[in-house]
Amino acid sequence: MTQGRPAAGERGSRAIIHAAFGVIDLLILVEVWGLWQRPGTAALLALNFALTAWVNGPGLDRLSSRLGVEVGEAARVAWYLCSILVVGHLTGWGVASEAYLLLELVVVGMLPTPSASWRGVVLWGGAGLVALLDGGSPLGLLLMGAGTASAFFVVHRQSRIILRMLDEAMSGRAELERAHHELKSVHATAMRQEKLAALGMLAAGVAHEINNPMSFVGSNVSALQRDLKAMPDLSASLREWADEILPETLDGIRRVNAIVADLRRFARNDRAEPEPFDLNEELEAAIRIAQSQMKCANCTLVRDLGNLPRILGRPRQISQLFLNLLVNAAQAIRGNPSGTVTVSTRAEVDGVRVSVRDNGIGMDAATRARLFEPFFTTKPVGEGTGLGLAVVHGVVADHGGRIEVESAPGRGTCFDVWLPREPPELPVPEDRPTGTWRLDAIALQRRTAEG
Amino acid sequence: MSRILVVDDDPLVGKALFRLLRREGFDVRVAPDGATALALLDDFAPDLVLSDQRMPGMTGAELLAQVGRRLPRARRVLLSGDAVPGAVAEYGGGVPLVTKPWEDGPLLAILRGALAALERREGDVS
Repeated sequence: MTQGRPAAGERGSRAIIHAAFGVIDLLILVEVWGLWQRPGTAALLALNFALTAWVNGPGLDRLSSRLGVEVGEAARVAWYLCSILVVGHLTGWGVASEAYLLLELVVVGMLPTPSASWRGVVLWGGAGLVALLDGGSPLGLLLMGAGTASAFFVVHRQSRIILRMLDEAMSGRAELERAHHELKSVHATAMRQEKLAALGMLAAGVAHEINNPMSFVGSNVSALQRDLKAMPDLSASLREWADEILPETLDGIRRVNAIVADLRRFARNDRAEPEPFDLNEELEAAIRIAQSQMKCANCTLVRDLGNLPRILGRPRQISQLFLNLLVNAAQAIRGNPSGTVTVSTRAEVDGVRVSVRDNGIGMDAATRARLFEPFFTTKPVGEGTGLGLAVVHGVVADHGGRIEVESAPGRGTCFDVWLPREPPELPVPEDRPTGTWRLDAIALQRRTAEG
Repeated sequence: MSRILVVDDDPLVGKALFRLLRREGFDVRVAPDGATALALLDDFAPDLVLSDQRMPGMTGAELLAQVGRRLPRARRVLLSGDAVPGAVAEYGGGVPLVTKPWEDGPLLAILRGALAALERREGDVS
């Protein structure tokens, strides 16, 4: 919060202070009028008026901003003390010096910091003491002391109250902003989850509907091919059908089936009961399968596996999760002469943490934002179905874990997965998988893994 | 000649299976739903019932359970477009599960295997 003088109404209150000091300066001039024969009177008063105006004006502000408010304010009180001595001495501690002290204490008390009270006490006590020693009347000084002290504390208290209210308003606002921000991010997550769920449902439905026609189309075409091949004398054009066109057609059918199979894996129900398993073992299994992908020139795989407790979950899903991450990492470092994939596991108090890091091509913010969306892929047509990370996301969510991604273009990517020792409650799939969406765990990118 | 009863609500799937199995020398009948299939049981007395899982009215699993009670000697195979691709799993009660789209070779191998087990058992009995 603000440590200097309150900014609100700063200019207005400063003008009032200058005017008040001006009025009292005039009062002092009137009081000492005719006493000019005393040596130095004129010089001292002139010096006092000038320096007091400087202290109340921008001069002290510069000192404060350079050396700090505390130093500036100490200098102010020091000067005020000198000035009250000059004025008091010259006017014989009359009403002019009383008004001067009152005004000075008001200015000091305006600053709402605890140290301002101390400065007020020093100014008030110092002025009173010197006045007493300098021959001021004790009764007059007592009246003056009571008046100025109460004025000081009223002003100072008000400043403190205003400051506290300001503080409260600001912290309330910050809280509100934080809550708003949190709400926005929760909303975004919910939207993303909902989108994934809707897409999963769609995927399951589409996959099922495509399977029926694909099953008889494939069966019929392969029957046709068998029949044609079995015929002894075929015309040249039918021979072409048997040898080229139908095999190509069947290949197309197989490709459609493979995509639908991926879709179905994405939306599949897994009935496996959760069981305790060693996460490092599943990771090793995934590494073995992904090995074919890692066979690029100069790629290195670094294992940094810690001792892990057995955790509860569906090991096949977990192994699938790592396989998908590894395949992506391997593809990210493809063609990179110093490509490295680092896999590390760590035990934590209530779970385990696994990270898969590569120093490959990395991702920009736009890609990061859509990362876990089904069918979102950056790979060329035919290479990726865009389901790998959607499956990863689903497996982590099903296990009650968290996944974080760090990535920058050209700097590589790190997936950080945290899994609890015991998942809160693994979703138990219903009999009819369409209409629910379940993510599954078996070898997803079979085509990529095998090719 | 072994008798196979095919049950599928998609007529084109039924026809494809009918042609495929007839070519392989089986005596094949096709039913579009569970109720029709049950009505055919006494008359046709199939050695094997190959049923789709998801059908209107009665699911394939429900149908095969009834088949198991009414015609205990009949072998049963479930066909499904929902399950894991390529997986041939036991769908409870020793019923193999074949996924759609099937490949002719593996499907025929499963059907022949089931029928061979039936023949062996009945051969032992007689």
